[in-house]
Amino acid sequence: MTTRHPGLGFALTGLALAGLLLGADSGVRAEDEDKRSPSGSVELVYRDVDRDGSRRKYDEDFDGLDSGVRLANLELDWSDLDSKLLDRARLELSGLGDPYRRGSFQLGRRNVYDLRATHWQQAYLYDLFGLVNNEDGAAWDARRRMTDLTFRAFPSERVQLSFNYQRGERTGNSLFMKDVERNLFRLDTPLDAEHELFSVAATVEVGPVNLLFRQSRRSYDNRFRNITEDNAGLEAGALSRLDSYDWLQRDDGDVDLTTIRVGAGLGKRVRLAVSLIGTLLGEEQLDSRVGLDATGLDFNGDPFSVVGGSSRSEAEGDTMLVDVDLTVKLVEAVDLHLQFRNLDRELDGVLTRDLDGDGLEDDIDGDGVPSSDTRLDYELSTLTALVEARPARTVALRAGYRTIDRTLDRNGFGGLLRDTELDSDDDETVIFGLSLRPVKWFRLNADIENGDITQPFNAVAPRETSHTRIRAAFLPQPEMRIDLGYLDFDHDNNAPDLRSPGSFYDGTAEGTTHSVAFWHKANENVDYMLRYAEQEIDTRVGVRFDLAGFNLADDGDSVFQNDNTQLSAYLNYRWSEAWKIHARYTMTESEGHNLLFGDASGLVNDEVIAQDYDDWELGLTYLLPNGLYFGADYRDFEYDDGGRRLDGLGAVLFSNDGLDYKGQIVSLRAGLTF
Amino acid sequence: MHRMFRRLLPLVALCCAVPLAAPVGAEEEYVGSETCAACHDEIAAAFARTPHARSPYWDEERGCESCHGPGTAHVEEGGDPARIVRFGELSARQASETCLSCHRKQEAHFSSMQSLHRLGDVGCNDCHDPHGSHDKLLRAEGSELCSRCHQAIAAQFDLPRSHPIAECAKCHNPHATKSLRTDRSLFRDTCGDCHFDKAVPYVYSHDVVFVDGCAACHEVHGSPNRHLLKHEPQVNLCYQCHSASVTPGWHSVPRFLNEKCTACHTAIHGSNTSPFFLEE
Repeated sequence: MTTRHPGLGFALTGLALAGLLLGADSGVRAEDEDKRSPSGSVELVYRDVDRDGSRRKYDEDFDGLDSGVRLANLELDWSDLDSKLLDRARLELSGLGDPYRRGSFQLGRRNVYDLRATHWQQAYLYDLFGLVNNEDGAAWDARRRMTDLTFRAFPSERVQLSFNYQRGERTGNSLFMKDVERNLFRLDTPLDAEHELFSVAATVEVGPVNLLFRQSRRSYDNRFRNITEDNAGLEAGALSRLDSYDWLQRDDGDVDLTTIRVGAGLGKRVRLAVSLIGTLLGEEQLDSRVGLDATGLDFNGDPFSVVGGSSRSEAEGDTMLVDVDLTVKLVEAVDLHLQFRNLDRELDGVLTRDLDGDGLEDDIDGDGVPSSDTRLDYELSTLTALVEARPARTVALRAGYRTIDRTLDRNGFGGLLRDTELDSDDDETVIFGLSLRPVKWFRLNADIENGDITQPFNAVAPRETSHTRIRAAFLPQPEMRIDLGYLDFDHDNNAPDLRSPGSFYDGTAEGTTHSVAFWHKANENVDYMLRYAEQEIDTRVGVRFDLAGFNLADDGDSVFQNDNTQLSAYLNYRWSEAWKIHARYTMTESEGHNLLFGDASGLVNDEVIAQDYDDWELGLTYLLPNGLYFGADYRDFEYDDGGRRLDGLGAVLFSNDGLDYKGQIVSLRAGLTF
Repeated sequence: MHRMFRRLLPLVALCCAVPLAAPVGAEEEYVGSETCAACHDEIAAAFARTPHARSPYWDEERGCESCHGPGTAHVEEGGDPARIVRFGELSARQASETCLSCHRKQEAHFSSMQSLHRLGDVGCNDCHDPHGSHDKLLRAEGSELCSRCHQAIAAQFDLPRSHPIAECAKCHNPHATKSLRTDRSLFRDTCGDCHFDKAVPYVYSHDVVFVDGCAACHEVHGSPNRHLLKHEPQVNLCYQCHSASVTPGWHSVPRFLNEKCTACHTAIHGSNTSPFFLEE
């Protein structure tokens, strides 16, 4: 299932396809041959990475960016082709060999067809073992790849047909923690997941009405394998061990979705859009199978063996989403917007399991019946009415009201305590907004929303919400702007606790962000930007500490307090035909606490946040008249993590000093624009 | 849903009462793009390379005047700028109406009247340059363009842990309506475009994903915590919802205070073998 060097393969396929199509039309006249010559650019880079400090943290932040020669960028554009098969083509490649690489290819002929393909890959590296408590460990060396192919045909001006194919893959390796026989084991877990999506769609214009019909099928195939040999586990004093362990799980299924959309102008005053998205012609479907073989010692130190352990589950689901957007021009300067949305998702599942391989099915939820049936039903209805008035050409006022009903029922999740019944209706939100453009050089947009939620779903969800967003921009010149931003949220939750009758949630969350930025493009040769931002977040949620069992609880709090300060700037300056420079600087300071403490017990888990990151780059480029250029960049970065975890007495349990790193990257570039 | 319909009906009745007809303006004369190019030759040459010029919906007969309106008076008055539609002189709303007269045919713009940007008085021309050469006629590369207004969000991507792919439009639809903001469960679909391995049906789903979405536990733009979690160590996050009254006795805090819940509850997004998300 794993594809080797897909970026390269994709590029070669694209080039070959372009060559075939470009060469296929023998009717191209000699004087038009120059139209076959593409415009574009290409850049090669040699990068030297010199780092010092934590390799693991560097890899986590830079996804393993390393030294070597790379094709940084390639763009080829044929925009005036005079072929019967195509009149344009474009190829883009970037980052080949780097953690994030992307390629795209487009070709088409006006009024006939359009073909686009894109592919990207992202690396994800992560290794926590040895940095924190071993039982907190995790490691990934993963790649996520996505390919998208879209073909559109235009049989007439009013009809468009399209076909889309997507493919996603997740491959690589990870280390996985699993509790077996009261011991915790670190298991090798190859990553092997993929999905495919096929869809066909037709868009038709009939008078003032536009119709779209799309049918898609998404197939997924996820495999999980946990394997180990001769593994003593991580728990101190545990008697259990695994001589061998092999868990193989395969989840696959399909999701069929039908989309019907209608957009229509009804006269000059009414605009209506209706969408229906759901499993009209199919369903969501899952089939999961597990096989398990294991040998070792159990928690008493006695030999155990599992041969042919198994688990089998199936699920079927239905989704239906209805959207109605209606806009009516009540009078010339006043619009009424109505939005209605209803989402209904249902999922039924059944699980049978014999994980110890003894031939007897497990009693999964303790009800004396071997198999377990589950059901989940979620429904959400939203209605928003918004009046938009424009008393003057430069002013817009908005006032509205939103009401939301939500219900969630799930059962069969392993006992009554784990079943859920949420019914929150008549959630109300009032909305106000103001947009001003009184003069050409100033604009302001402000939105305020205040909401009351009848029943939050959990302790971290709000019962009362307040959101304020204000953005102002000064544009004293066409290519100059000063932006000011203010974002604020305030949440409270003192609603009844859904899962503990008689008790109440106790949570607050506040956050504020200020930002100011200045951008100026002085002329074609100079542009620069400065940005400063501050972010403050304070959340507190009341929790109950479980000290030893159900009856020994202590009230406490889980607190997150975080202040972030950021400064960012760049400059691009071309001072002559031959020379240009660029500079970039980013500074981030992040401070605060992740705190969990009990009022009476004095138990404290205090994770101090103290992260500083500086990153700057200076680059110089020499350009020749023929489009050839050469450049050199110097980048310097430093990460300093003063984070530490403290116990109740302030003693340091461990620190993040081992995560510090710094380094330099020197890049030599050579490129050509044509 | 029925309660919701009862609330909806009076509003629909009000809308139906509004007169639907409106007068239509008289036809004016067009001069054609070749006449425009006689003076605006650089713009004409650049425009020929834009996606607009290649569009199957482009009106070749009217050309420039498709957007700038009939140019007869402009030409007859010796190029008087006051006699032609100039978008810099229009409000964001007025300018966008011109664009939408064609682009409403596209699926993304069926609900254009209620898009968040439109309601915030952001017009098409604020982000798109109709004479530009970029694929989507954007005035700057994707995330750089968005960050000019959304500075505070852009700053979150400078936090020590941030989402590795910082292309705004991969997750956000800039033409979306408010509905997408009020239905948290659809965040799962947004995230699931790339995290497809987690956006599948499960026999046992972590129900918060349905109701509050991925953002219930993750800060999706950036966070000082690993995995973009809202809290670290992880037990601080999980305990907010799963504290003493809903966890069995062996989850005592003294034992698990500095550890990670997903060390055992490995399939925390959903499981097909365990109601307690204990295994994949």
